[in-house]
Amino acid sequence: MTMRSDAPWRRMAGAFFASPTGVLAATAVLVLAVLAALGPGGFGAGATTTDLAHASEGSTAAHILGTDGLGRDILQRTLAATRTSLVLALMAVAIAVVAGLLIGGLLAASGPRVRRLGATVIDTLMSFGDILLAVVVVAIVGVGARGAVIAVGVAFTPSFARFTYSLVSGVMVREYLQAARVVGVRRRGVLSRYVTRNVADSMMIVGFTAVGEAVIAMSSLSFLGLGIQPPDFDWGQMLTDGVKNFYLNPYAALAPAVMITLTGLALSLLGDAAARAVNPVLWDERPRLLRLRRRSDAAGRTAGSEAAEVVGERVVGP
Amino acid sequence: MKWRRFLLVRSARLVAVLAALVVLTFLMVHLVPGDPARAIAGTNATEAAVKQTRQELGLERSLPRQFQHYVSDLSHGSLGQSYKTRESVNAVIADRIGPTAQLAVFGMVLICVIGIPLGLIGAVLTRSGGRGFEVGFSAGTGAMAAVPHYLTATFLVFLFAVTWQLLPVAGAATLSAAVLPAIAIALRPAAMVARIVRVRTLEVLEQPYARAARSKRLSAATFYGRHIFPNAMTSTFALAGVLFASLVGGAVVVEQVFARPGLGTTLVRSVLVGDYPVVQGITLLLGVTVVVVNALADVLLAIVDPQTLEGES
Repeated sequence: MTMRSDAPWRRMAGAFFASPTGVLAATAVLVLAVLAALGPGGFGAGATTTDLAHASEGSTAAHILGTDGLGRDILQRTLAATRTSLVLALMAVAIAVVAGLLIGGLLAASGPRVRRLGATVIDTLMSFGDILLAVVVVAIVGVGARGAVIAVGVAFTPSFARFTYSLVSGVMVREYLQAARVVGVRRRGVLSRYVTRNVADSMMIVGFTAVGEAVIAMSSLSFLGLGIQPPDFDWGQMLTDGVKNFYLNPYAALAPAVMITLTGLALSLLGDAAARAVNPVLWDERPRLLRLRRRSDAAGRTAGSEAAEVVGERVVGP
Repeated sequence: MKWRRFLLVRSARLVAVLAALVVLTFLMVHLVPGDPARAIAGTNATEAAVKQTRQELGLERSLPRQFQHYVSDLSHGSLGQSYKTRESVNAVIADRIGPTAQLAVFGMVLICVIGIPLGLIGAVLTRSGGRGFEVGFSAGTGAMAAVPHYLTATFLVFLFAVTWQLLPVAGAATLSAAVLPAIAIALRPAAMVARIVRVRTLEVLEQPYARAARSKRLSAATFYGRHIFPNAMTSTFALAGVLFASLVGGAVVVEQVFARPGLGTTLVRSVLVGDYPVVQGITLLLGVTVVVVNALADVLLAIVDPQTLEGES
């Protein structure tokens, strides 16, 4: 490994953009952010104006992607739904991160008995899978956007709690931490300087991937009729409508479907790129994506792949 | 000796998880805000009617008493009674479990038939094909894994049932009606399996014993068939439990698309109408199934790969 004299942030950025997927993901997420910032109102009134004379039309000059069952423009509607879809997903992930940090942190700090009990409960909840868990939570908190956000938040909490737990207990036994204690760094100092830093980095990476999965989970709930209710709309709800008119205008279902899939993919790739950026070991590793990985222990498992394995049962390929 | 210890530890854990499941499903109904008795009796029912409903459902008893009843009912194999139809939950489940079980079995078979060969071929081709193939494989399976179940289901309906008119799209009357839903729930986990199998196979290929086997100039069939694949498969086997859970979750969504009268559709409908005993019963059943399958997978894994015995105890 060659040492460079560049500033750390520059080397971080270098690692982030080292692979084409990093650039691609960053661009896609930027576009999504702009769409969300423009908001539901930024794409013209066609998103919500009903026009029954032109209902369920295919692609025309006036409506590039056609219209839905009530004559609303599919393109405008899809773009307008970006903010709702992303904001709901972000809120759900925020709930999961906060609750997961609290539960995981507390478990890591408590005695062996509580630990074992907590791990058992978390394992039980995780064995349900996120959709099933979310459906059960909706049954408790009620149908609708609020219920769906809480449901997805709760459904994602066990994996975040478990991730925090293993992360914190992993850091706690490191030698440098014991050394810090020996030289008299206070408990709070240990927490803020070593534990928090380590947890925050990994949490951010897992968070990106989780937002993408939350978009999918949220749209699944909307699709089942348990999530957001008309007249509000997100991609999942648009899909439910679009599927009903699939034969008249397939774009009504395809447009939100493509957005959901692309968002999920972009955010998980962003997570991978961020994992490369926060891991100094990988800073000077130039594009490895395209090469068959020689397994050296340091570079073999990035924080990202470890994280992804915990959160979604998916494994990020080398 | 190791085995005895392993089985003891594993079954203790299984019992603990099952107990946690029972407590959680019990608490679920009691976390619902509002008075279930009033919800069932109707908003304009008289106070007396509500009181009677409450009594019939046993809701006037204290929480520990209700839990005691829940557990004693469970020990007799009874899951309670539907709020809405007054039918026993056991009957509801017995009525609906067929299509879901069929879907789960078909799905699991498809995951193995699609995922494992795809991963193995992927690994072999990565060795010979190099970069372009690796990127293509990662992107392809990545996209496959990113598509939600209900989308796959919708596309399949469109292609097979509308465009080509090959297979039935709704119901569960015939065996062929299970084909499309099974493909829909299996594709996503199959992509995950393919990715994992490929990575593990490549890992095995890096091991010293693989290099030793290679240096013996074995035929490709012997080399891969005897030395590489079996070793790659054992570590993949550990994922069976996770896959089964994702299959069950997928079934809940996919049944809805295909209007299959299974546990998933019943669960969603019961959530919408607030029929909590049915939600409770189905959740408990699905949960127990997933947990037990997980435990069995661990035991099977230990039989195939005794090294895991060390880690467990």
